[in-house]
Amino acid sequence: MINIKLNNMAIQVEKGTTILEAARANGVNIPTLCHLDMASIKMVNKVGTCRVCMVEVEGRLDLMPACAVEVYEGMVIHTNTTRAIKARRTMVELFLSNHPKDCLVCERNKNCELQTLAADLNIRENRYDGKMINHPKDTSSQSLIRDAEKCVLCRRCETMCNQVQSVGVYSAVQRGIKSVVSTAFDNPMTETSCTYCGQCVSVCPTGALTQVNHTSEVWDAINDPDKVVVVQTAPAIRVALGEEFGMPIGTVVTGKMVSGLRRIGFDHVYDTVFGADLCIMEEATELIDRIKNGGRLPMLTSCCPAWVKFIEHQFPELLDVPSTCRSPHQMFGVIAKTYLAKKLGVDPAKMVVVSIMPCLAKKFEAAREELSHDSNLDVDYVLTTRELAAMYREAGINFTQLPDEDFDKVMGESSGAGVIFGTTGGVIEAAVRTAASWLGGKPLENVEFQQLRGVEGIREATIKVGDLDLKIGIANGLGNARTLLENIRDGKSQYHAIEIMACPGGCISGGGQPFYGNDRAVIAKRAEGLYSVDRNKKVRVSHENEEIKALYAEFLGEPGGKIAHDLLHTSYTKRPIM
Amino acid sequence: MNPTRLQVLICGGTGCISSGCLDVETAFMESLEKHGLTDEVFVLKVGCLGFCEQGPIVKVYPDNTFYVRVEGKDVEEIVVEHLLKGKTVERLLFKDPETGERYFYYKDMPFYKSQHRVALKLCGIVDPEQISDYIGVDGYQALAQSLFDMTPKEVIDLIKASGLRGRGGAGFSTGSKWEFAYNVKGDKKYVVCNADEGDPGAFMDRSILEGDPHSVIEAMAICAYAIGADEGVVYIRAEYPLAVNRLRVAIEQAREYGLLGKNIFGTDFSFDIHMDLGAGAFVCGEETALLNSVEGLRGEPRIKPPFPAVVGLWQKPTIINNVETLANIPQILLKGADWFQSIGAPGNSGTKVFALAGKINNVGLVEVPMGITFHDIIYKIGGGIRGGKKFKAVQTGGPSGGMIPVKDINIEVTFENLLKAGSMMGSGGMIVMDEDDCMVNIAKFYLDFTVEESCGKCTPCRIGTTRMYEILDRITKGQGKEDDIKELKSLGETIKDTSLCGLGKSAPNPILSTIDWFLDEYEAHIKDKKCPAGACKDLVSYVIVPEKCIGCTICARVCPVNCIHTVDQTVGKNKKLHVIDQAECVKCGACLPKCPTKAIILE
Amino acid sequence: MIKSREDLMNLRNKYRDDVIMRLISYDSSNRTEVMVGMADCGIAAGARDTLKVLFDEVNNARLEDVSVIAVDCMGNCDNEPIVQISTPGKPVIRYKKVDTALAKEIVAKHLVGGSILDHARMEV
Repeated sequence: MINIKLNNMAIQVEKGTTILEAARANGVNIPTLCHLDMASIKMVNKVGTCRVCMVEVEGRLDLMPACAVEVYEGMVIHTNTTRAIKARRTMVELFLSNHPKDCLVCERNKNCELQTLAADLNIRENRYDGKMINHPKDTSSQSLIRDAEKCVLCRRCETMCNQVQSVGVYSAVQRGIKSVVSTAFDNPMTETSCTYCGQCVSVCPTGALTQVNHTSEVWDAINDPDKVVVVQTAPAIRVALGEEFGMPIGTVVTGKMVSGLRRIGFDHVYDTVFGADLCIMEEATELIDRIKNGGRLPMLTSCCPAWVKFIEHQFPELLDVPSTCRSPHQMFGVIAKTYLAKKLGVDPAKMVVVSIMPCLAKKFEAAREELSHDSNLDVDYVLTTRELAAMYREAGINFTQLPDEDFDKVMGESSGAGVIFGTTGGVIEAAVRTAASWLGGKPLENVEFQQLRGVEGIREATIKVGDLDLKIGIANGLGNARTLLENIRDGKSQYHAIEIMACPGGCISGGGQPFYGNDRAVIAKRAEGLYSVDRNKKVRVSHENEEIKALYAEFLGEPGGKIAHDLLHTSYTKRPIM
Repeated sequence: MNPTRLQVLICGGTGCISSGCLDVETAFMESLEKHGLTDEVFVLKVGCLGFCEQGPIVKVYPDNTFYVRVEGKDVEEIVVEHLLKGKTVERLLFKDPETGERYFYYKDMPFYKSQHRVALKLCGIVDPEQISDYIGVDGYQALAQSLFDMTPKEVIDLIKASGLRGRGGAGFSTGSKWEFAYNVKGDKKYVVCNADEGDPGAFMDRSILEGDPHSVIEAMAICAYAIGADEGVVYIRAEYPLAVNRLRVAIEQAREYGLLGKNIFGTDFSFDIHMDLGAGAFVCGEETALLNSVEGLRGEPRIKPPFPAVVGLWQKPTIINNVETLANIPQILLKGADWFQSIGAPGNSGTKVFALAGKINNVGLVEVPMGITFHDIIYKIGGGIRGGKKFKAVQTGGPSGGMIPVKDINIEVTFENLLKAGSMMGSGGMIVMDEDDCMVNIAKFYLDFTVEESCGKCTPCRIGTTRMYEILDRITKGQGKEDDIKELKSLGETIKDTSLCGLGKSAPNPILSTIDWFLDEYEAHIKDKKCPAGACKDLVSYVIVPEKCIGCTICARVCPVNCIHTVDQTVGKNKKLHVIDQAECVKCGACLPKCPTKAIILE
Repeated sequence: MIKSREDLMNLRNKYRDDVIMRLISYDSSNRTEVMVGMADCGIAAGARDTLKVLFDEVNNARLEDVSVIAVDCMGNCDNEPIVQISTPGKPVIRYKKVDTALAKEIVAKHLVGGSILDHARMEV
């Protein structure tokens, strides 16, 4: 233990504690901006660039950055001297002098860390006025927008993309006041290896990295009397949406979400989990087929479009490894515009399918050419959880007071297995529940596979299914995915099946979810919400979903059969590393 | 080797090359051939002799003659009269501008008399491209002594006892730094030489590398032995092609002779060096930005602590030393700590190389013992202010330093004194200013450089220095405001307090220093909208004094924008008075020197 | 290729000859100067041969603090070649009519042996 003095208080802390950590543990807050510490997912941004967290340390001529300096025995720290306070204010004033003054129309209005700092530090004038960054906006992609003029060079996106996700799209470029974080050669996002995982958007403190909004197109569709608008919601939404309205973290708000969607004006409200169950039917069939008939092993789950783009760029020689199944919401979209359209008596050309997703990559995925029929996109628009919350607000809906309602029939039933898709380990657990009972020839006594659950970046488990020792690998976070893929490439992989999710923690931590700062406990609570929904379901395995059974009986035929293959499976594209 | 009875040394530093010493060399080869003297005279190019103002310089040994401003066409006379017939060519000897005295022996010259060449000892003596010269003057003996007679700890103790402090600017005890790295347990350590010399106008390190690269190589090997390293890197700026080449040749020759590589001198000590070229960023002279650059990352500084001696190149313990610091090491080993302590001042042992420039008569490279006064440097060595003008200030430390005004001209040059006076030692740039230099404009000039070179990583340097520059720019354009000085001081102090690295921390120094000592100039710019030194173009007017104008029209004819017109008033011999249209005038200054009656003045 | 400390020393001794002239001259306060009067008159009297012999003999005798320098006419042209020897702290000695034989003698007896050759002396 180390003894230090902080603002004249004598305190003891562990070796390796930073001044900031020591302060916060003892009731003293020091404002920060660039600092972001989520060591559990290897996202540690202690770069000391913003210079906001400056404190005085006795014996040092200049001030020190509290977030990046470890305490030593006998350190005497003063956080609130005039000098330190003046330094912090000046830093924020300098930031403001190089930042667009359009808060009122900015995507991050009321939710921006620079805005909060300026308010907390009582900045009341724009003291410095001069040259500012001049950088064109990058609106090239379907998923995210880069506005470098709002960049504060916190380097969080760089750390996230390079160290955690190992994609490496960002770096600081230029010098002096022209410095920004950008892509190689300032290329538009569409000309990079970006996977659109959106984790950079999650960590950006300002409006420099934001998502693309498709809300107005959806409003137009809803208000077009000619169009039948069908909406489906991903599992991750129902455990996070409540946060946008002040409800306790992890509250399951499925009922309110559904009734709210009807009030907004969607014609039919369905559950993407139906698509997840459908996905399991196909994927479990494919896995068993590969195992029994000497097909390519391991098989990788393929419902995460960010990770699919990752393998297309980074490991194009392994494109035969992922399952050929489409992702749940895409499967849903195809079935909606064929099977459902017929049932509803609606012309598919007039049907608009909207997915509510926790994900930015889904926006890119929905626009993929191959995911359409006769030039009609299977999914027309993807909105994120944040966009949906904004729609409720715009529509004047008082979310917390909504009654609970159920999804529509035909494509609204879901199993517990499908619900847990939203968290890391959930997809593969769902697949194992079905594959194990099929291989074993009888229903499982215990459908919960605790050994597949957890928060570590790379996990593994062996599940005994009859004579077979099913070896499962799980990775969340693309850096961890890379490790498993390199093993496959080098012929060292011993798994039968691997689940990969690009976002650390899985979809509940996706780029489109409500912002959670650096509190990973939020993610844990959302995961627990999903598992609790699963526990309370009567049907907990995908193959016992009655509506799914009906779909196969009436329309698809056999899982893995010709119709299923044509509609529900896809192929991948080799892409260069850019 | 049969030595010749005469050796002609031509200064081959970059400065003299620009002045044409290669022509001189060619002329010598031709003339010696013509007169059949090639067996008697050996011609070679050596490193910088420092008296750059008077280059190209030619020395004749063993006579010890020091010829200045030698051109190709002078060579025939030197060969015939001096080399053949023994008669010194007096007109090529240095002539004191004031006394008219001609100097034969360079050590008698005022420029050299007060100097003490230690780091530069072999510059101008050895051929930098012949390792045999270096070996002949006891080169690599210090390395042998370290390996055979001393333990690593003893080497470190010796360097500590000598009091050698970093010559890159910070002045940290070199021996103590080596000791930090020595104390870290590890099987991989590095020695890095910082040859990124970025201060504008500084060429101390360049001259050492061009003139005596082996002293640096030997010093790095000694350091490697002391701390337990086996790999060295010289990070050298790409804008020094001659130095890069000389160093490359020196490294190759050292390897050929087994002085770099495996099992040096047959011991189990192995050490090799490779070069890494800079890519044009001043900030990469900062030691941690340099390390990042070597690792292939963006050249941005790291947070300290941890310091490179503990966590350095590739996260391993690393010693980074400046070129000049290293150049002192071999001599300290051979001559002892007491010898080094006997030079200089208490706590500031040894010498410092300065690049003396500005409004001074003797511009060049000088090496003086620490503790010498500015007065002696400027007036004894520098020969006083050019054109007989009045001395105003001397700037040390480049864009990181401050001004030493007239009142401090007698302070002794030491690390501490310079800090106390509001400046710093820096790497050795020393610029002399006179009455015609505007202190506000000079501060702006330095800040312009720092703003351009800021890496952009931290807020105060990225944005803050630009804001300071914008204020200064307004002031020099007559748009200064009441609170500007207060704002400059406040912002400057905050930038010093909060910047991540030395570049940002020292960027406000020229401004804060000039505000301290030349407040009246700032006030004149802001309140009176005038530039007393007449340097800020927007604040001076070119005006024709009517009483002196004779209507000769010369000024109107040289004006590039045709802003000089006649008015209806007769002057001189029935000519018209000329007037400058202030709205059109671009302040180019072409008219002033052309007026035959000196009727045009700066107001 | 240097493989031992002795190797370095041997090379140093070998290469020193080329550099020593510049090193001694660097700090000439201790050196003995052997000046040979040249100019046209001296050259006509054979001073160039004298110069060469002096230089070679000094080299062979490894007299590191002695420099042999050609200088301008010292006057007294009928006594040429004239050789003047000055050592700090000692009186200046001038020798007249120094031919190659005498030159050898001067090196051996005066410079090495330390005894002045009175028979060849002249007024300074």
